[in-house]
Amino acid sequence: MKKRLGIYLLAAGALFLILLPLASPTLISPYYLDLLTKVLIFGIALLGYDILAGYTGLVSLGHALFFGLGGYCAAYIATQYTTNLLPIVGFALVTAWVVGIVVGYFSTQTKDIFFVFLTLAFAQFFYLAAFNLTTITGGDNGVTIPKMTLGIPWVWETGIPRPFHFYYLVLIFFFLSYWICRKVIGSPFGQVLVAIRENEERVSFLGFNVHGLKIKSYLISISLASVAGVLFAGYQDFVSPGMIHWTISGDFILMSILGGMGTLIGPVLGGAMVLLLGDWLSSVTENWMILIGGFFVLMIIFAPNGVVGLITRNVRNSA
Amino acid sequence: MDPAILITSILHGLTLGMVLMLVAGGLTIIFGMLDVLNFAHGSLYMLGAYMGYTVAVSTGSFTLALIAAPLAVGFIGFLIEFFSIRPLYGRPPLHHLLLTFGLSLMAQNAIKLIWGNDIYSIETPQILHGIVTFFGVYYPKYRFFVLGVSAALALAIWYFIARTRYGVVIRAGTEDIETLEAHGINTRRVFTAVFVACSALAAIAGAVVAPMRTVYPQMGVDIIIDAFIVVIIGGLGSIRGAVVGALILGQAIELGAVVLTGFSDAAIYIVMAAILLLKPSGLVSEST
Repeated sequence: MKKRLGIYLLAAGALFLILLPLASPTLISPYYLDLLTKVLIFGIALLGYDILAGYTGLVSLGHALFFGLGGYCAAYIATQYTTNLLPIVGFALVTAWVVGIVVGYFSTQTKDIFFVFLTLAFAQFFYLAAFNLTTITGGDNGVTIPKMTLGIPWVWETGIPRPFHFYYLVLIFFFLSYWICRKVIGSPFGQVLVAIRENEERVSFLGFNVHGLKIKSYLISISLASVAGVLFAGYQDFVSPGMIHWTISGDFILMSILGGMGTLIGPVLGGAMVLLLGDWLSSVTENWMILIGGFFVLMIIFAPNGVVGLITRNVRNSA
Repeated sequence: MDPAILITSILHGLTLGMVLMLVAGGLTIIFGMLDVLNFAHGSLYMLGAYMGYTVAVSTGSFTLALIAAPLAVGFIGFLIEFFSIRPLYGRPPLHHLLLTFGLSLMAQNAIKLIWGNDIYSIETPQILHGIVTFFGVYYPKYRFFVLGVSAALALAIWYFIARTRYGVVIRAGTEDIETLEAHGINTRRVFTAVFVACSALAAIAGAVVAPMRTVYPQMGVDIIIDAFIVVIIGGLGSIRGAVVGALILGQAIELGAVVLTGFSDAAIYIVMAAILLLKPSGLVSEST
């Protein structure tokens, strides 16, 4: 019964996301459609983040590395070769895997707080590189990116008008990401990841290669961060070292906790809450983070499993 | 390389290392005893600098600022421990890290609300103006003062921890909290006292550094990352490790600025990654 309720809710949510733009501009203005696009882009990164932090139990403070790397890949390809989105995504994924195998191999040898800070160290290293290697990255000034396109490279291409078409493009990527993450979590591999989170030692006694499994989890996770980074670069038409800064990784943690880690949809809701609340509060006060921070503190004290944790607990209690 | 430049940057590194030691020392004692990774420790340091600035400007006395800042921040530390950290004892350490991360966001924005986005600086007191010259090296008097104050505080803390009855409780607490409780010590009260004392220590560091560096809303976040790195490379919860880590990191930052010009900030991350990979539990790991 409870499981079916969840499926209905998800289907309703998906339908809502598909139909909402059709009600534009009466129900939702182009501005908010654009903001919702941003929510979905962060959602893709947060889905990936949840695989690593929520399900495998490895909280990273360096995920912005791959978010930003995706962005810089997009900038490089779009300014040098083609503005076509698909080769850009392909290039960004391959780059993320090359960097991710090295960073992941070393980072996943540690756990808990050491993992937090080792991932931070690697990410900050790349942040400083992006900041200082001005000839490649433009340094603090960043890189402006031409508008991205879709189609067959060099044969037929079409633009992606904002906000309507871009929204649907991002929505497709979001659904695809969600489907992949569900598949991963539902598979035996996903079950072992949860087992690693719960008791790593026992999993290795059972004969599993824990380190290898963690690297796999890491690579899946960063792939989505990288794709989100490409889309975010397209969203902003611009990349800067700020995309790699650890505060972005901190935002990922904040959003995941608020929504509820280890639930996939929870972090996405958390991201939506922070971005929408932030947008609304920033029109009221410049220092809106004080309110978000306060809300976050209260959530950690009273509801460490996030909003989704609160809801499921109430459903269980009333049943 | 000009030896004068080398000596200057080594002295810079030493000053920075000593300041880092005051912040990271508190951080590691809090972790060792309370099992709390206090991300807001940098915010307490920053609050110390801002309070020091306000007192110094309104009264004109830097000495008063050095006394008022730790008192005020100590009280804030008490509020933080009592109302937010205490309810979370017994939960996974990550919860405290996230809680204090939220607190640091609040503190940073509260600072902007009260003091604005401006960058302030405290004027160096009259007697500490000027420079000292030796072996062809020119070095500001005030930096020697910072060095002296930090060293004196470090010695006082060492004496307190190593030679007094209260120090025994703290050392026992970092080893085994349950046994300590079984000996009839009210550990809750000790926790609060330790947190307040370490908050005050961070505030002194902030106020002392203010005339040398500047006072700005990002300073808390800037130092906390460095302090965490010190604690991690030194070995979590190890006081000796924090001293060693702080001195290494101070040199890495300042010598890095000379050797790796243009890419100097990377030095600390290179040092941390190298130490974490070679010796994951830190340089000085007392247990396990």
